[in-house]
Amino acid sequence: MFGKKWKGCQGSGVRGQPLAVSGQPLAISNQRSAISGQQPSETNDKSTLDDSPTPTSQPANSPNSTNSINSTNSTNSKNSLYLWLTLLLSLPVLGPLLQPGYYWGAHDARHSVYFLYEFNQAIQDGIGYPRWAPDFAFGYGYPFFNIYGPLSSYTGQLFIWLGLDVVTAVKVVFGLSAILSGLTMYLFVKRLLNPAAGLIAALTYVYFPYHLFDLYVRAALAESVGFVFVPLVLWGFYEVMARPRLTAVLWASLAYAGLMFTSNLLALMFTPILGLYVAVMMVWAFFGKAKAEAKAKVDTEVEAETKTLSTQTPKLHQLHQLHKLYKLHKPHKLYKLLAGLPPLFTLLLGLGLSSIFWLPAFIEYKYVRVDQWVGGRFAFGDDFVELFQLFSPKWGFGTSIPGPNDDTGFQIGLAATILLIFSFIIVPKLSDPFSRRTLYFFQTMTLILIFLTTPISSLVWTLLPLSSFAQFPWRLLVIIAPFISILAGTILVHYPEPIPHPQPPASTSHYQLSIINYQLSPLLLATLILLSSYPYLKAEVRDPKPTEGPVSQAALFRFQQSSDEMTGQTAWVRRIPNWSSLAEQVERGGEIATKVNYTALPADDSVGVYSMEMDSVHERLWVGTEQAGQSVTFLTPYYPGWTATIYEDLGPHDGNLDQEVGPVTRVGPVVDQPPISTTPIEGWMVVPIPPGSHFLELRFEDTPIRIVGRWVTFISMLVWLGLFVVVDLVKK
Amino acid sequence: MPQKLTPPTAQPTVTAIDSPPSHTASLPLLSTPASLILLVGLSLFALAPLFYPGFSQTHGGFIPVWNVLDLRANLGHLTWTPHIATTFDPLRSDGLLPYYIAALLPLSPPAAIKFTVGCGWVLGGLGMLLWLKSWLGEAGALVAGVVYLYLPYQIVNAYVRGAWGETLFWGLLPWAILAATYLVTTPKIALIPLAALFWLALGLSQLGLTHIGLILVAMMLLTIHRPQAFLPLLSALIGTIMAHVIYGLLPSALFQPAPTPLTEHFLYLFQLFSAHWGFGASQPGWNDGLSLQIGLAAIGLAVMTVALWLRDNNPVAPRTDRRLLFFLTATIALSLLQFSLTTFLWNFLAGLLTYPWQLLGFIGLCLSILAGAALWLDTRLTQPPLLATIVIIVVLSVYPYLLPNFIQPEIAWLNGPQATLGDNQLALLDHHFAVAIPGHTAGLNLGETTIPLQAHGPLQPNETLTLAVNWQPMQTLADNLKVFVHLVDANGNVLAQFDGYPQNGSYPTPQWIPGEIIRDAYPILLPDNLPTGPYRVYLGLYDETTFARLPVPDDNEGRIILDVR
Repeated sequence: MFGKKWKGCQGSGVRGQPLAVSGQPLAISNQRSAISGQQPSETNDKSTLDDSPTPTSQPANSPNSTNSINSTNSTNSKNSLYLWLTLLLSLPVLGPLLQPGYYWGAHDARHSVYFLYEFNQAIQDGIGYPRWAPDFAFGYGYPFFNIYGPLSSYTGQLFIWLGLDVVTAVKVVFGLSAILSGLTMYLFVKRLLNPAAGLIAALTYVYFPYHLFDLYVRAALAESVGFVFVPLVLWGFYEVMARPRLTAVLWASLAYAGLMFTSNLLALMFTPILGLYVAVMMVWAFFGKAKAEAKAKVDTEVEAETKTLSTQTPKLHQLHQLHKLYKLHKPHKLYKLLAGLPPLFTLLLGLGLSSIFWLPAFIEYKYVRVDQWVGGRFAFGDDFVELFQLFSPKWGFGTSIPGPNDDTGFQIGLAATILLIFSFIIVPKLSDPFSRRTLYFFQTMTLILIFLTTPISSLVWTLLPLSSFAQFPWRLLVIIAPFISILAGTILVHYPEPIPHPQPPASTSHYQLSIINYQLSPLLLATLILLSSYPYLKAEVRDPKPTEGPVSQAALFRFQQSSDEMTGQTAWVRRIPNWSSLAEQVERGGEIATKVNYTALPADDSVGVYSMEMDSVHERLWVGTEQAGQSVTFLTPYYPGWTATIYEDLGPHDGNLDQEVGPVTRVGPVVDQPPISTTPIEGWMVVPIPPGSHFLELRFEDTPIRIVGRWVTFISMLVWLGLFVVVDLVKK
Repeated sequence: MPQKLTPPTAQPTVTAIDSPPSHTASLPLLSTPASLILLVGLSLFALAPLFYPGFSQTHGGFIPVWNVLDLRANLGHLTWTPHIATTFDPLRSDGLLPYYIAALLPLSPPAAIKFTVGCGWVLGGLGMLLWLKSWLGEAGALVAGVVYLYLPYQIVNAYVRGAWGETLFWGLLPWAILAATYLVTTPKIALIPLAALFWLALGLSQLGLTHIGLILVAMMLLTIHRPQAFLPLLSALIGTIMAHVIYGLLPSALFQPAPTPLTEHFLYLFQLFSAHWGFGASQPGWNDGLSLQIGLAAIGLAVMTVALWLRDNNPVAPRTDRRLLFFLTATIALSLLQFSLTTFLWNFLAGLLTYPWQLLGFIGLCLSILAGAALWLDTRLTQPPLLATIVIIVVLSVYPYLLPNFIQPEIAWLNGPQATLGDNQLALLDHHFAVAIPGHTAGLNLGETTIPLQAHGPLQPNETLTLAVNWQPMQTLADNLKVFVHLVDANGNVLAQFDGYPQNGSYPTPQWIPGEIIRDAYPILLPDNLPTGPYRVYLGLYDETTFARLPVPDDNEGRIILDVR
């Protein structure tokens, strides 16, 4: 079938040779291709994104049935071998994580730990979807999780529930992300090319220097977890484009939602590329000659098979069927245009599933101050990667600094680069037009993205709003990594096609070399990929400084003060604090029992305030005053969602609430929902209280947009589940 | 055993680009253009450091920059030779060709120099590919080119020694051999000038090595293509003689005595295989500051070739294959020339080179060919996965060495040295006067204890005048030298002085590495009775044991005279 060009499918044999291993799967895949009008696929991918009914490969009593079963088993065992190899060879990436302790000095090491620490606090307060981090900004609080993808935190939370401490949970999430990223890359490239290519792509991805940089130099948890989802999203959209079907749409949308939940920054950077991919493939399909090429391939194969095999062979029978299908099926231009609908629906469903997060994050982003994140040393400027840095062996644990002398590494990776270079020779030889075009697109994007990391692209950065979310040009390496890894896999597209060698029957040395050639070359490459990144497989593990740990609320405050990075504030705050009375209280061994600013109460004791209960997102007070125009100030900056409610105090009290049966029994109906004002400098919430004895509750609730987001997610989930059930029923 | 050799005509040629391939060793994916593109792509790692926005610290320092700048100002003077901070020796110095190429390029001198080095380096790989593809096939020639590109010695030349003339020589050598041996299959008189031109280029890049190259190529031709060797040899000889003639016409191009006894720089066996890497200079004895290894990948692949070659029933190359025999023998012979046991042979060669280890490039060339031959001997190695594996191994084996010491030169340094000392041993790049201010003073940044003299005003008694300098050693300094700084009045009377070892003795001058920037500052306590200015400063270095000062051109007393302002 792939006479003129190399085939990119797994297990396929050589033209003119017995297809003992792969002949049957190839024929099946071709049948599917014909139905969908797209590229061939394999038998082994049906367990992944394939919902099409598994065709009966051949009658059980057919002449080749035994061989076929054996060959299928052989192919399956080979696939599982590569899967296991992927997992096993990915394990060394965990080395630094297995060291006792934690690499506290990594750029975001503390951030990752305290994000989870705060998330856990909120979860323990019974908040299923946390948005407010009460201890950030020295205890004043900050809506951190409203704008930060929560999936890595949820994953970490899972391990906290399993009994791990916060630091260990973070390390486990880092480790899982590394291993799973290899697995997802393997699965995608196995589908796109073949299992051996999947192994190479997966290991290139796992050991991609920027991946190790994210794991052990930056310790960026969300972005590390994002590495898991990028191949899944690519795979999903590839399937949706290659063979549009409902199952592919469902899983692709879920993968996209996962990416959005993990890192909105990554999703933001990646979505335009996905859109471009869809557009390019559509244009290509519209003007290209994919169908003609595919038909020509089948014609050639039929002709070849007719010459060599009897007409009773199942392969030829299926090829004839394909031939007929191609003759019958004449794709219309409109059909090609409609091919854009499945990816569009996928994107919308993915956005719908994740709207509980991204919708409020997008709309309410303007209510937080981001100057600390985009100003100062985080400001977009001269943080481009010099060309030499992309290919330099330099590595370090320092930070990115303007100019060429960064004390860290931004290399693409030796093995990855060399395999990428080889891909430019190999990809044009691929026979399958869709895979070839997909890989052309990846190559083009790789070159464009590499260009965008370098200083010569500064004009593009000023013209396009890239800096508003990418911050540092080197962050684009996170998208370059999957593309290069996939392209690295192309080195094995024709594996294990043997090359005739004009040698006499094997001598001992010949035999040994044969083993190296045909059985071990993926393993050799895999070993070299590991070796090329091995020097960078290290972390600076050390005991925490007082500004880092052991993990506690006090340590969190000290960390915030020392780093001056996590004191994010809402838009109502004019002066960013560098310490607080709340933090001081905790530092001296106390705890934060109330956020009421007692110093703002009248000195004449005309206002009585008693904190009844407090958790991450609410505080209930008993308030009493005889004077009108009084108010209570909370040491919490305002942010949309904070509401104040005045309840009637039902029971008599003698001024000592502790002796009552319980405050709840005394909380009466709602009296008022006073508007919240803020202090001019700090942005603290000021709630007016009416004369008399009341209960005042300050609560962080969902805004309308959050409610909309929640409902959209809920409905999307129902749609997703409904469609999933439908697909399942149709299958049965 | 010439009787056992098959007639040369019956044997596939080793060199000619259009000779019929003896064996199809490549996959269809590797056409010649594809191989060339692949090789250029694979040279990225070698060339990447050249894209650093600055300069690399090499033994050559800024000498090429200064001389290129000077050549640009004197392009009309056909008798120009490099003379700033260097003494031009036609045999041992970097030749004129790299200077002229850089001077003619529309780039800044540092960029033009880096461009020349980069082009020369890549040319070597490409030349190997084109030279060997007819013998080794595209894949084998590609591997030979990659191995040649990533020879540790090539990296040493470019990023440690800064021997850019030599880098250009190694880049042009495969082309010169290709051009000469093209005449083997195309023996046309009209092609002789073209081939001679390549040898002329070689000679104008590094004349000493060209002689060795000529001997090697002559032996190769006489071994492999004896009947057709005349025309290629003639062309090479004409080119080399032309280079001699050109240098002979230059009045300032005088053959110099060896700067250091060549025989003191023989290698020790371990050095050829040592993983040591450094940026120091070559030292007499075993403790060289730079790496002089052959290269792990080159050796490994060559051994693999020998194993494939000598196995039973090898159908590709008989054990009497003269090409493999020649390059294997040449490798061994050239390696032996690195050791003191061959001192007697160097009596004939010593005038051509500065160090015996400069032959490492020829060893590398032979090993690269042998390395590529592995893919010729077993075509299954040309499969993309194994080809990529081999290429990765080659690059990976030297990857840690591709990290030069980068420097960000100040613009003033590139314009030329303020002074040179000794026999072009040390350059004063720049100097600044400052006055020490006790305690913290408003307007100074935290940690600053001096203010520039211009901002200070007239010097006052009891103040401390500081002379800050940037030195650049251009050769190894043998003696532990002290610095003297004399503050003198208009009549030359010494008012105050500083005498001491550089950097307070923490970094003695014998340890200074050629090309590195040595920042130093010398405090001069001004006397109570300091007269009013103007003042001058005499700066120099001397040997404390002999009181001999390092000579300074234009001053018989070994002083650099600086106006205090």
